[in-house]
Amino acid sequence: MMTQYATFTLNDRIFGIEIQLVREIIKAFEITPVPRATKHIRGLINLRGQVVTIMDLGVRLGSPPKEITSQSNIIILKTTATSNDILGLLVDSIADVVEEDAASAEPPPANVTDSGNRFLAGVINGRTGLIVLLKLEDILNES
Amino acid sequence: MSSLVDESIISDFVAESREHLNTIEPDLLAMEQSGSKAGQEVLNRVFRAIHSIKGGAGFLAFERLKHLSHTMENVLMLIRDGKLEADPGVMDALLASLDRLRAMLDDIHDSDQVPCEKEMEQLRVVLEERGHAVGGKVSVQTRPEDPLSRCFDMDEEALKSAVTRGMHLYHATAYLHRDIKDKGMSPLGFLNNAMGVGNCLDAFIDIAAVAELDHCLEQDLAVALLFATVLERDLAVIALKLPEEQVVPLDMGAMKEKLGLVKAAPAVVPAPEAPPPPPPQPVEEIPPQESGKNAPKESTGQETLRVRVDLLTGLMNQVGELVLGRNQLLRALSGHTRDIPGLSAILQNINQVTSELQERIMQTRMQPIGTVFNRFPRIIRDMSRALGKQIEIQIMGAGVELDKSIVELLTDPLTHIIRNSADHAIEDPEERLKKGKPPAGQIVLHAYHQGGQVNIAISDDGRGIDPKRVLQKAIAKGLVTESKAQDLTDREIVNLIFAPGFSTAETVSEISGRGVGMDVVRTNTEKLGGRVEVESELGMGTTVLLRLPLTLAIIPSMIVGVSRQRFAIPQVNIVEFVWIRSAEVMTRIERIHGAQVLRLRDKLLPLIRLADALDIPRTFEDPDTQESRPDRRASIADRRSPTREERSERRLDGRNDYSVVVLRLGPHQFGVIVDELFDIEEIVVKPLSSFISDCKCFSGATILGDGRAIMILDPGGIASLANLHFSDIQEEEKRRKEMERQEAALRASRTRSIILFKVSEEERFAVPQEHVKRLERIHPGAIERVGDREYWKYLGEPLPLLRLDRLMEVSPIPQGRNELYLIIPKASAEGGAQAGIIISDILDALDVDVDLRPVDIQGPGLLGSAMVHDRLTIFLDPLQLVAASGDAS
Repeated sequence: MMTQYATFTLNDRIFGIEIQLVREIIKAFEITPVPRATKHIRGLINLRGQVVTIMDLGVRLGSPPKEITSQSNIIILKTTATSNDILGLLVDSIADVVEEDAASAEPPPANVTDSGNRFLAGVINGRTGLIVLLKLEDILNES
Repeated sequence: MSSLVDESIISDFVAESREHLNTIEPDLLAMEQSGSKAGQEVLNRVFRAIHSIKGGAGFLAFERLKHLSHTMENVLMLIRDGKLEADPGVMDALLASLDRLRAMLDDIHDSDQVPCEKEMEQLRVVLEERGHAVGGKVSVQTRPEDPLSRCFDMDEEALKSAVTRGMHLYHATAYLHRDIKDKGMSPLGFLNNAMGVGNCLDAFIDIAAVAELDHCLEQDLAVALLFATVLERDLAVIALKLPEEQVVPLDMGAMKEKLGLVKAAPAVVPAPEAPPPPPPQPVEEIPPQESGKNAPKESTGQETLRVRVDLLTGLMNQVGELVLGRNQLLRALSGHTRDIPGLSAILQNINQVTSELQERIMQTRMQPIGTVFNRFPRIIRDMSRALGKQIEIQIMGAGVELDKSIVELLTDPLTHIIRNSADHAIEDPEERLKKGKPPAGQIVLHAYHQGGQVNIAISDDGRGIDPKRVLQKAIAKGLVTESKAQDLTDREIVNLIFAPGFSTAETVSEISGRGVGMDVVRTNTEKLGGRVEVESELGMGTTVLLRLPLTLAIIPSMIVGVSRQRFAIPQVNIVEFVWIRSAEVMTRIERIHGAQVLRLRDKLLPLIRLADALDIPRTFEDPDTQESRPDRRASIADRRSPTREERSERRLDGRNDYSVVVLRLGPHQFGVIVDELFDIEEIVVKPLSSFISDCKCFSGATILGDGRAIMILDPGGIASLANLHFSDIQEEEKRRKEMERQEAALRASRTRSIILFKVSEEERFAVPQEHVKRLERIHPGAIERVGDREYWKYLGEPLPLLRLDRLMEVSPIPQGRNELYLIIPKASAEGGAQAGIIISDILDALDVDVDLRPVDIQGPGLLGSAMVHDRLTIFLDPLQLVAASGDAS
């Protein structure tokens, strides 16, 4: 079964997210910080009249927050059945949409020991290189 | 059966029937109140409504619904015919049945499962007690020889009533599509029309007719009606809008015979055109119920559309966005109006249209408060019956409109308040008479606009709330300390009933009954962005006042800035703005128990730095530690626009000017220090994302006119995050007031009334007035000398005189004065020697508040010195002086 993935970079690694889950991808612009929110909540943006909460995916995976650059992108996720919140993921830069066989995913290498490990679903050795797949559900679940 | 009928017809029927029930409930209450005097119109309206429900139910084959409404109709008919009094017992039965009908309508397809035996029994008892058997069912065969003949079932009473009133009976057949829908009527519309000219005694879906006629191909349903009217057949045909062959007259002679009414023949004679004979009762004016406005007749006159609420909510949100978009557009183009001809006119037009659109769409969601108010007459009626009290309810301003969501959420708090009034505030009739009040208690519900808000006042003329008892309770519950209680006004005390944890069931009757869950009332009202207050006069009554915003979705808010971030504070939470100049900071802000406090008029307000509460790095320095300078520098460097930097620099120079927003939190107030105050903007509230909702300090998010998404602050959250302890501050406030009182008392005791005088130009002297008996003007020649002693004749006696320069080191009175003065001190308690003190001039008599300091000179009677009128003044005790001069002699 071939699946389309939107790929993006975070700290020079390539990650993939199923394109079905993506509503749109936008350039990162001014994000209004939310005081006292969890660290990985970067803030809010106004997306055509809707308030979208932005999660800093890098921070969520355990790295320190970074400046927003002209390369930074926000991946707006589709809303789920359980929640009407619109969420965006802040990533370092966006890469291609690739088509890969989901079944070929292997478990994440044991040497990946950073704290974000628990959010990794597996790795696909794709044509363009290694693509790390994320456990999006866990990432979005506050706990 | 009902599956044969369009679902849309059923839902129309349900909606219409509900409307009917809602309109007749107040009518029924009016009937009860004014008894047989209730206007004929009211009675007819109720009758018609129940009747058309019955008709529709028969039509759509909802057997139980039909059965119950039918029995209700019988009761109503007896009332109409003057055979039955509309007494409370009858009304109980009718109202209970009304509720049951509602329950059936709520679940129309299973309405046959809804139990209604109890209500039926009640109605039956009513009918039987009055000697009108219900059992009397008659079957009426239309024309035995005709294949179209149908067998109608109906109550003998109903039939008799119709016949004795000189009505003709017809068997009418109406086809659902051909005769009703195709003519643009609804089935109920058809029935209503029929009801206008006569009486529909029975109705059912005529399956036989469908089978027999060609219309079965069209799947057209036939409805059989047994129709009673005063109209002759040709007129009835026209009135029913049916083809002639479908209206078949019944043999009236046979009918009368069957009913044993032949002897009553004279009553049957009246001319067919004549209207039904008017009832014997005089028709009086309908009681002042709002119901008149909602009469079914009118509802057909107004063109309305049913629109789904979510559609309106969606429109509302979109128009909110449109407003924001307009604001952005206006801002973006404001600089270009000169470059582009005609632009400003276009912008103005867009501006205006958008505003109007917003207003209109808001209006679509507005509902009259009457939709809530109208349920209260019934509640009050039931309660007064149950409690054995007489309570009248008066409704004013039922037409005032509020957002639908607010109207809905108001139901519970209002019900609560009204029930409390009826249950506890209004006294028994005997008690009221003893107090010289009319036996019937009054509850007044009044809605009105004030200052862009809607106020709802619920007043009663009952017992009122006893502040003493409320206070006792509040102290017992630990809601206020006893010391604090002394400072409370009666009004503040009475409002303690809204404090959480104030009321429990057993306190209720003690304190005249307000209080069960009044904190819930307050919480609910505040949730709506409103406020609640109570005012009460013991023995005279109580008024609860709810202040509500018109709408929830768009709220005016103050935009504030902290460290380059902006936040919205809903205006409803804001009490005032205070600007503290740097020069005043030291005197107006202080620390109590480690917390900063602002002295505002006579109050102490806890003070929070918004930056601290939100955990944002501060951008200006702490006046105590002056540590956060580096932070500040960093952030100033961050600022982009030079104007802002300039302004910040100025603030740096001004050191610590503060903008304080004073917020209201229930009964408390506190100040929030912000960096900047912007404008008040109308904002559209967006719900908080679940990722943020645990921050607690925000109540929502919004998008500003410039497109920026910002958070809306929640005062309660901020206060709890900042660990505000209002009780500490209040204790301190109390302590201070006490101190001030003491100081004032002390000052009062220190204040002296003195007489200021001089002996020479050099020194100034003062003596306490209280020690002075008399002041005399004397001529130097009147002084008599004996040796070096001097006397003056006073009251026929020689009064020894003394000169200050002989007792202490002060200058003597200059020579050559034409007149001198004498201070004659009061005699000391021991009745010692009397003497007069010679001085040169009396300067003043005044009150001074001075601290006396020791004087350097030596002598008796020296109290000390102080500055009076900017001159060093020596204070003397005249009694001691006199005593000293006596010793010296």
